[in-house]
Amino acid sequence: MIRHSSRSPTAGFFYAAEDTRQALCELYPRINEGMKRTNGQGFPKKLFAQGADPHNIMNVGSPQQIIEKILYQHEVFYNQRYIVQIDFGGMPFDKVMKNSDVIRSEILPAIRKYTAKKK
Amino acid sequence: MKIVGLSGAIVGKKTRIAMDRIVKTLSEKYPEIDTTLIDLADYDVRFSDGRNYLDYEGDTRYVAKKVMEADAIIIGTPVFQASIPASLKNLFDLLPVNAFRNKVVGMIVTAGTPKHYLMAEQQLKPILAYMKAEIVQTYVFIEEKDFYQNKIHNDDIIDRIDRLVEDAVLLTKTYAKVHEEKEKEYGF
Repeated sequence: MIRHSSRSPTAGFFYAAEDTRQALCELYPRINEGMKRTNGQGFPKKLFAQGADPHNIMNVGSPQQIIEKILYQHEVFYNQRYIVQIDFGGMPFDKVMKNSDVIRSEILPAIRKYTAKKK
Repeated sequence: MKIVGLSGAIVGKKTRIAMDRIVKTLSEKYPEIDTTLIDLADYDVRFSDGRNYLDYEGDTRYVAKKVMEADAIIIGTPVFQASIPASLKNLFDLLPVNAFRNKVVGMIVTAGTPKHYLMAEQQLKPILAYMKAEIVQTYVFIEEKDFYQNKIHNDDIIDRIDRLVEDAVLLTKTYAKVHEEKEKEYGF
């Protein structure tokens, strides 16, 4: 079964903040501007608003929401890797650093705890 | 608001004459609107090879960019072999799949015979719908007999062209408002 032999990672935009609204607010102008410059079209707000939904590939929201989405994808795809894009569209350095820090201190430990339990 | 009038063929006169009328109405009734006429006959547009439209150069890039930057487009097309001309289809092929998202698109069709009056319905509208256009449902169909000495001879047609312009502008303004209101709810 594909599920057990999947070596592909999931990947996508990533932005963690206090809550969903703040995360969407801070990420949207970056994604919109970045898309305009690379593809010529901005990112429709209507689509972006679905970004926090577990079924959307973008990972934007609170750390807890992000943990749940990564685990959800892991259950569906059995992926061993997950690639994030944090610095798209001129994201300021301090925000990039803060996100790396959240991944290290909150997200990774939670993911490890879950995946370790399964063995 | 930016409106592009697009004359879709590289041969023939009728479509351009109709498009000139569109532009005349637009600039007289709505001088505040930034109107551009693009007649594909005036440009050397390459065949689409799958690149992003921004990666082309010269006329191809200019035409694609103008269309992409528009809030509304009024497409003028003749009927070639029961369909749209290849030059117009090529322009669609140059653009991304969602190219007409949040854009209003109106149509004006010129033809030698009334027998193809459903061409826009069967050939053009499906493409526009696929590319996510907000279509102005009523289009103007102009026949050979409505022209005389390179002019539109039929007052009825003039009326309908003016109404098409009015509808396109009204729809563009309405959709802009609707989107603005919806986007306010998101708070980002």
